[in-house]
Amino acid sequence: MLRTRVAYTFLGTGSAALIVIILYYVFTGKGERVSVGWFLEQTSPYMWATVGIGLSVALSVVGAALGIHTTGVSIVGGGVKAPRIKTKNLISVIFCEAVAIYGLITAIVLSGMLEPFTFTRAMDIPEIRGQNWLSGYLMFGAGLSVGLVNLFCGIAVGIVGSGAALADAANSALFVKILIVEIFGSAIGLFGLIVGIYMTSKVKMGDKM
Amino acid sequence: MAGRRMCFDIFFCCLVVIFGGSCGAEFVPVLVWESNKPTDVQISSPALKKYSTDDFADFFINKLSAFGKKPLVVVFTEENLSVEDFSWQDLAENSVFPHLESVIATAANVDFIPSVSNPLKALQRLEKLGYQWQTVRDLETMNVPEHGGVVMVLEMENAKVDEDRPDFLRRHDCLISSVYSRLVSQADDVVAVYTGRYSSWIEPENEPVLHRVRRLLVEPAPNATVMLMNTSSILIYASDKPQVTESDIKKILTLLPDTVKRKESATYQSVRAKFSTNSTDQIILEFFFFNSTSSPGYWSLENVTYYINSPNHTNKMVLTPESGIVAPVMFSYHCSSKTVFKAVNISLTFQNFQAQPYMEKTKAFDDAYNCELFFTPPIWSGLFVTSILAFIMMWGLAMIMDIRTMDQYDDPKGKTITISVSE
Repeated sequence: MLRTRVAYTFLGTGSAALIVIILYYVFTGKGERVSVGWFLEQTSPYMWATVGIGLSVALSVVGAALGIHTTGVSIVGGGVKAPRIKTKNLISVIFCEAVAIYGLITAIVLSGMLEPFTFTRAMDIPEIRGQNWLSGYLMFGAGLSVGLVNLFCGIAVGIVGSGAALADAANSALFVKILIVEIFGSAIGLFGLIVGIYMTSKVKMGDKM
Repeated sequence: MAGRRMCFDIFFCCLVVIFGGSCGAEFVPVLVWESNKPTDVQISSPALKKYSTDDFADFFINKLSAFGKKPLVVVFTEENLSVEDFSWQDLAENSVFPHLESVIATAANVDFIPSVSNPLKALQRLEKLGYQWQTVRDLETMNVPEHGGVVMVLEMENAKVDEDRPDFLRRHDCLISSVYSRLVSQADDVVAVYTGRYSSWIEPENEPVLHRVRRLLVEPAPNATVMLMNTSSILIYASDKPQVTESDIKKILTLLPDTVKRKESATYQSVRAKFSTNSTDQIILEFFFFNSTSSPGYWSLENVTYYINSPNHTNKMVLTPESGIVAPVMFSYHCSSKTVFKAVNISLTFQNFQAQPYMEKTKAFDDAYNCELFFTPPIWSGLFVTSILAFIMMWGLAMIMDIRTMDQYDDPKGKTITISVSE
């Protein structure tokens, strides 16, 4: 299958390159140069923050999109034979959409916290440096957590919504019960949002203490 | 199976190359001359061509065929002979073969071929032409054959222990000329060949053998502008004289090598030296190498203390490096771009700076930690973000390829489905 071949090529090349590079450093006695700590310290907090912002909205939207795709297809398909389900089942689509909204809110909040800082001042004063680097990591973590949580939440809500639509088409009494499953599925998306907002409360970028 | 056969082929090829190479490598010069000119036929050879065994055999047989009856061929062989022996001259511009030169002056059809591969093997083919092969071991009991058609081979002995090569060759020269004159007096036509078995590329004189020692630490030439500070455990090098820029005044510092002193404490090692400038200022630089307590096993050049003694003022400043100079113990630090030490209004610049403290022997630098990294932090950030995006791309592609359209019941020729809407 093409997809497995592409995946193996990607992974294989990556692993081979990584092994050669790491073994070169180890065998020349410079093993300590392969340092994750050095990478985390030397990279700019701007990179971490902006990647976090990007991931929060991107992954959330992917989750929502997958959910809407799954449930939408079922509603459209079921609606052919049982047109009464069309209006009621839009609620599943709204639950999926909410997941995307969570990601968008997080991204807007994080973007508001992104501030410039002067590098030399940060190098001179360790507290400023610590603060800015902490902010960078926090924004990355918040964005990543919100994004991934919303991704899987969206997928879950979509699949449940799809089942609900088809069940409703068959027997209209089932819909309300299945909706409870969907509500639980949607709640987990909210968890991600709460954690993200809680993390970003510590963010403080800039040149002032 | 195919792999094993390929291995065998490669092994066979290697053997052939090795043997072929060893056999074909030796080219020796050959000097051929005759006692009488057989006819007016001259057979000359191209001067600088490399002769193979077959080429030389053809040439020699052509030479011998110009004679009416078979001549006497005498072959003088050395163990080692090369073109350089023929062209060697001592201080009085005498060559090693004075007697041979006079013989050749009176000989006919002299041919000197500078490089022939294995001429003795070519001469052995004369046996097939009816020549009798005779190896002469003892000169006293040598009997000169009355008729021709004999190849006399004289293998001249090796040098004595205390003999150098010119004397050794002169001795052989006397021998050759005496044997040749004896033969000429008794036989009609003599063709003489003087050659060697192997090339004597190196003259085995009593010369000290040259060992080339690879030195990582080159001793600076007296006129070089290299700065090298060498104490018992610290080594500092820069390829150019350091430059100090103090409030827009540039000064070039020249190290005074006798003033290099070392200091050591529990936390650091330092080296201090005096530098002169083109003005009357005297500058002292002290480099402090701390063994890092935060990360044990690393040393770092924390600061350079700069003392200036000029007639106007004396001053002491502490200069810190622009980028951290840190390396593990047993590694040196090297930067091929400028290494700058800065303080307020003053900067000290080194070009091609290399330093190492805590050395056991300061003969040479150990492997260097370079200031130019192969994977810099920006490169790593780029790789990180690009890999995220690439992963997303792969996932998206995989999903698109998974799309299956609902065409199970599609029948382009069949009846289109109509749904009666019941609301």
